[in-house]
Amino acid sequence: MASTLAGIVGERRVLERRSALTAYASDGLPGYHQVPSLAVFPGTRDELVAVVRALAGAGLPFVPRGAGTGLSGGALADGTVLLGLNRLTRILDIDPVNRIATVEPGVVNSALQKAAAVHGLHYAPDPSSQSACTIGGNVAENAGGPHCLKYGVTLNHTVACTVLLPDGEIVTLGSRHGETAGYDLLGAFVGSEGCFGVALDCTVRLLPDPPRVRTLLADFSQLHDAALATSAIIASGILPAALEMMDGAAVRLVEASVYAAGYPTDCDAVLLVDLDGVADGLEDDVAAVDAICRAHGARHVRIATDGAERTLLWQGRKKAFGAMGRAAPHLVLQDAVVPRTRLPDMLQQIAGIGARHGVAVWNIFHAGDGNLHPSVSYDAGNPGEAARVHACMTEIMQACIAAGGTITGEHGVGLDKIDYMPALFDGDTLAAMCRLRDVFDPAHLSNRGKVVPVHTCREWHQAPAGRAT
Amino acid sequence: MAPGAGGAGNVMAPDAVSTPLLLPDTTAGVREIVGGAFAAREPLRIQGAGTWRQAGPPVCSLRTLSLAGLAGIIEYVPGDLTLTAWSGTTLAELSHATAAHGQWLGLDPAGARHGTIGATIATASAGPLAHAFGTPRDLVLGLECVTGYGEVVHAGGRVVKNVAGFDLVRLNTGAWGTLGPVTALTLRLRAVPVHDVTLAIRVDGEAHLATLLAILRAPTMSFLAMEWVDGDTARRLGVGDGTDIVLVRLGGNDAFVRGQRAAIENAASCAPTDPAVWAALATRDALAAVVARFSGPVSGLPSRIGMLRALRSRCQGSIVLHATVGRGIVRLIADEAEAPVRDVLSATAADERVIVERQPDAWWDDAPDAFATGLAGRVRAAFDPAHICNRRQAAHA
Ligand SMILES: Cc1cc2nc3c(=O)[nH]c(=O)nc-3n(C[C@H](O)[C@H](O)[C@@H](O)COP(=O)(O)OP(=O)(O)OC[C@H]3O[C@@H](n4cnc5c(N)ncnc54)[C@H](O)[C@@H]3O)c2cc1C
Ligand SMILES: Cc1cc2nc3c(=O)[nH]c(=O)nc-3n(C[C@H](O)[C@H](O)[C@H](O)COP(=O)(O)OP(=O)(O)OC[C@H]3O[C@@H](n4cnc5c(N)ncnc54)[C@H](O)[C@@H]3O)c2cc1C
Repeated sequence: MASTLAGIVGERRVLERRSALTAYASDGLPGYHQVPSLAVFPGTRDELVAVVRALAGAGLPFVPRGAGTGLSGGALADGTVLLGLNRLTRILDIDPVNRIATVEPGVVNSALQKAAAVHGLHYAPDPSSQSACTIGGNVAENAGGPHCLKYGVTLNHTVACTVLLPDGEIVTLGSRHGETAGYDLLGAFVGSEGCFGVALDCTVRLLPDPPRVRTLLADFSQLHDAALATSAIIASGILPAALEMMDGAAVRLVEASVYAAGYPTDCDAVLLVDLDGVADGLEDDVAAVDAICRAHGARHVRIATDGAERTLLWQGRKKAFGAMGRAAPHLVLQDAVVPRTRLPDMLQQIAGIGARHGVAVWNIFHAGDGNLHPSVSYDAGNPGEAARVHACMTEIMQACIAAGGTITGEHGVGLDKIDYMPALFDGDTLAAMCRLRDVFDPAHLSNRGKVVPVHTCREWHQAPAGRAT
Repeated sequence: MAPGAGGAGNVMAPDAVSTPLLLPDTTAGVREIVGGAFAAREPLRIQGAGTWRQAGPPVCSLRTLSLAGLAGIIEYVPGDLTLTAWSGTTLAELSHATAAHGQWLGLDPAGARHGTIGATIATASAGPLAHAFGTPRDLVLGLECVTGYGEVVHAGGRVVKNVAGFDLVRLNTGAWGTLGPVTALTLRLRAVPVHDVTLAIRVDGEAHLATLLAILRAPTMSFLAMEWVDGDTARRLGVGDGTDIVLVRLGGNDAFVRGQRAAIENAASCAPTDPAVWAALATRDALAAVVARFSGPVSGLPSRIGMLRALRSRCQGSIVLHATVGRGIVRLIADEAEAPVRDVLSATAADERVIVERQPDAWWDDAPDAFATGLAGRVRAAFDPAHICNRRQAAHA
C-alpha cells in the first residue's frame, strides 16, 4: 500500500518508519500513545480522493488528522493508516457580501480569521487552540470556544461540507446558500469525529465584527460566589459574548508566567465577561453585569478601557493552559457540561473529589455555558500519580452525569470518553448511533473504534488500548 | 406535569381522512403502537394537533398516531433557560409557561399557536425570529423519539453544549416524522426583551431593496427579525398603502431601541407598527392552496423576488410574497392552484433549495422524495426499514 500511496502523493509524503510515525502517536491529550502503521499526507483534493479510494479498495481503515490538537485521543491511529490533512490549506473562496467562506479542511482557524478580518468579518467559533487547530478538525469535533456562548458552536456556523465517504463516494451536505430539503445530514456530520468520512471542504458563515466590545474582569474571594454570579447573569437575560471563569490557583499560575495579565492573585476566582454588539444600549448591559457581580460578592469589577487592556485580560485566559505546562510535564484538560444552575454545587464537588484523590484540579472554563474544563498538571510517567489523576477525573465525570450534564461540550468522545458513553446513553440509543454511522461508513473504515462503544470493540472498551495508565 | 398514565392508547373514531386515530399518552404507549405497526408492516400517519396535516406529500396510512395526548411540561428550569416538554404540548402552552418567567422560545412558525412543539421540530418550522435565534436546529438540545423499529431513543441532553456521540437530534429535526415520532424535547429559551418594537420601512422597488439591504445588514444594526412583505399584502395587513415594506423587530433595553430606531429613521422612511402584524402574517396562508419557500444567496434576494413577482400578472388568484431577508428566503403563498404556479414549481423541482410546504396532491407526482435517495434513503432504511412512519403514497414516491 505504501508504494501505491507514494504513487499518488509522492514518496516524501508517505511515512513508514516507526521513528517517523511516533511523531503522530499522540494528540493534545496525554496518556494515550498509538502508532499508525503508515502516514500519508495528500497535498491536493484530488490526491486525497485518490488516497481514500485506494485505501477503500484495499479495505484498509484510516484515521483523518488535522493539526492533532484534539483533546480526546480522536486523531490517533493504532496500527492503521493516518491520513494527514494539514497540507490542504487553501482558502477557496470568501464571499463578503453573503458572508460565507469555503476552505479546505487543513486551514488553520486563525488563518481563516485573518483572511476574514480584511472584510471586517470573523468566524465565530474560537477554540483556545485556534492558532493551530484546523477547520476540518473543528467541524469534526463541533468545536466551541469562549465566544460560543452568544454565537453558538461550529454546527451553528457550518452551512455546507463536501464529504468524501470512506468508500470513496463524494457527497455534498447542506447548501452554500439557503435551506435544503431532506434530513439534516450536515448536522449529523458536524461533530462525528472523523467516523463518517473526510471533509474535503467546509463552507462556513462569517459574522460582521461587532462595532463595540466591552470587557469586564470581576474578582471574588469565594469561587462559589463567582458561580452564583454566573447563573445570575445568564438568568438576567443579558447574553454576554463570553463569560469565562478561572479559579484562584489558575490565576496565580498565569500571573507567575509570561502571560501575566494583571489579575489579582489573592482571589479565589475571576470572571471574564465580554459584552458586544451595537453601541446602542451596550453601556446599560455593562452596568447591569457590573451590578450583578457586585451583588454576588465581587470585590472589584475592572472594565477594560481600551483594546490593549482587553487583549491583555484575554491573554491571561487564552494562555492559561500554556501556563499550566510550567507546573508538570503533562496536562489533562477535561471537558464536561452541567446545567448552569448546577455550577456552584459542581465546583464544590470537584474541589472535594480532587482533595480526596490528592490531586490539584484547576478550573478554567466557559462558565456561561456550564462547560467545565477541570484540568490537572501531572507526570504521566509516574504510574501512581497517573492512576490518581485518572480516578479523580472519572469521578468528576460521573458527578457531572449525575447532575444532569454530559461528558463533553466541545472536545469530543474520541478514545478517552468512550467508557462513559453507556452511563450517558441507553443501549437502544447507542445502537441507533451505530446505525447512523453505518449509513456513512458501513465498513467502519474511518476512525474505527472511536466515539460509540459498539460490540465489535467491546473488548477494547473494557480495557482501552493505548492508555498509558 | 406528567402525561396521564395509560397504555397503548385507545382506538378512536376515524378522523377527517378516515383512518382510526390512536392517542397514546405515554412513551411506552407510542412504542407499543409503532412496534406493533412494524411487526405488521402497517403504515402509520404521525400527527400532532393536526393543524398542518395538508402540508407535505400525501401520506398513506392505515391508522393515525396522534401525539396530542402526550402533552405537558416535564421540566422547566428558568435559571438554566431550558425546558423539557412532551411533544404534544402546544406552542401556546409553552408560551404561557415561559412568559410567567419573562422567557420565551424564539420560534414563531406560521400557523396556529395550537400546533404542537413536536410537529414544529419534526418539520423544522421556523418564522421571522429565525433571523436572531436560528431555526429548530439551533434551538433543540435533546429529544426522545421512537424509531420505526419501535425502539425508544434519547438523543442529546439538557445542557446547552453537548457533543457526546453522533447527532440524532439534528437528524430527527426536520425529518417530518419519517424516522418515527418525536415524543419529548428539550429546548433552549431566551429572556423576553425589555422592549419589543416593530417598525415598517417603505421600499420603493427591487433596486431600493438592494440599497436598503446593505444598510439594514450593517454591523451597526441588530434586529430580532427583518421581513420583506410585498405591497399588496402589507396593505391587507394594515401596515402600508400598497408599497412594499420591510418589517423590522427591535428587542432590547431603552437605549438600544431608541438608538436603533434613530439609525433606521436616518436611512429610510419608517413608522412604528402594531406588533400584531407578525401574527397576522403568520396566519396569512391558512387557506392557501400552494405554499413554497425559495432560498438562495442574500445578495440575490431582489432578483428572486422579481422572478416570483412576475408570476402575479399571470395568475387570477392572490399571490402573497414575503421574505426572511437575512436568510435569503422568499415565501410564496398562492390562494389558488393555478397553472403558472405549477409551472414555476415544476421548473424548480430539481432545485433542493425550493421547499414546497403545500400543494395539491396531484402536483406531488413531479416532486422528488428528499427522504428516499442516496444517503437520505439509507438513513431512512436504517431507522424505519419497513417505512411504517409517514410513508409517502406510492403514486407520489
Ligand atoms: C396554516 C398553517 C400554516 C403553516 N405554515 C407554515 C410555514 O409556512 N412554515 C413552517 O415551517 N411551518 C408552518 N406551519 C407549521 C406549524 O407552525 C408547525 O409545524 C406546527 O405548529 C404544526 O403543529 P401540528 O401539531 O398541528 O402539526 P400536524 O399537522 O399534526 O403535523 C405536521 C407534520 O408534522 C409531523 N409530526 C407531527 N407531530 C410529530 C411528532 N411528534 N413527531 C414526528 N412528526 C410529527 C406530521 O406527521 C406532519 O407531517 C403552518 C401551520 C399551519 C396550521
Ligand atoms: C490548548 C488547547 C486548547 C483547546 N481549546 C479548545 C476550545 O476552547 N474549544 C474546543 O472546542 N476545543 C479546544 N481544544 C481541542 C482541539 O483544538 C479541537 O478539538 C480542534 O477542533 C481539533 O482540531 P484539529 O485540527 O487539531 O483536529 P485533530 O486533533 O487532528 O482531529 C480531531 C478529530 O477530528 C477528526 N478530523 C480532523 N480533520 C478532519 C476532517 N477534515 N474530516 C473529518 N474528520 C477530521 C479526527 O479524525 C479526530 O477525530 C483545545 C486544544 C488544546 C491543545
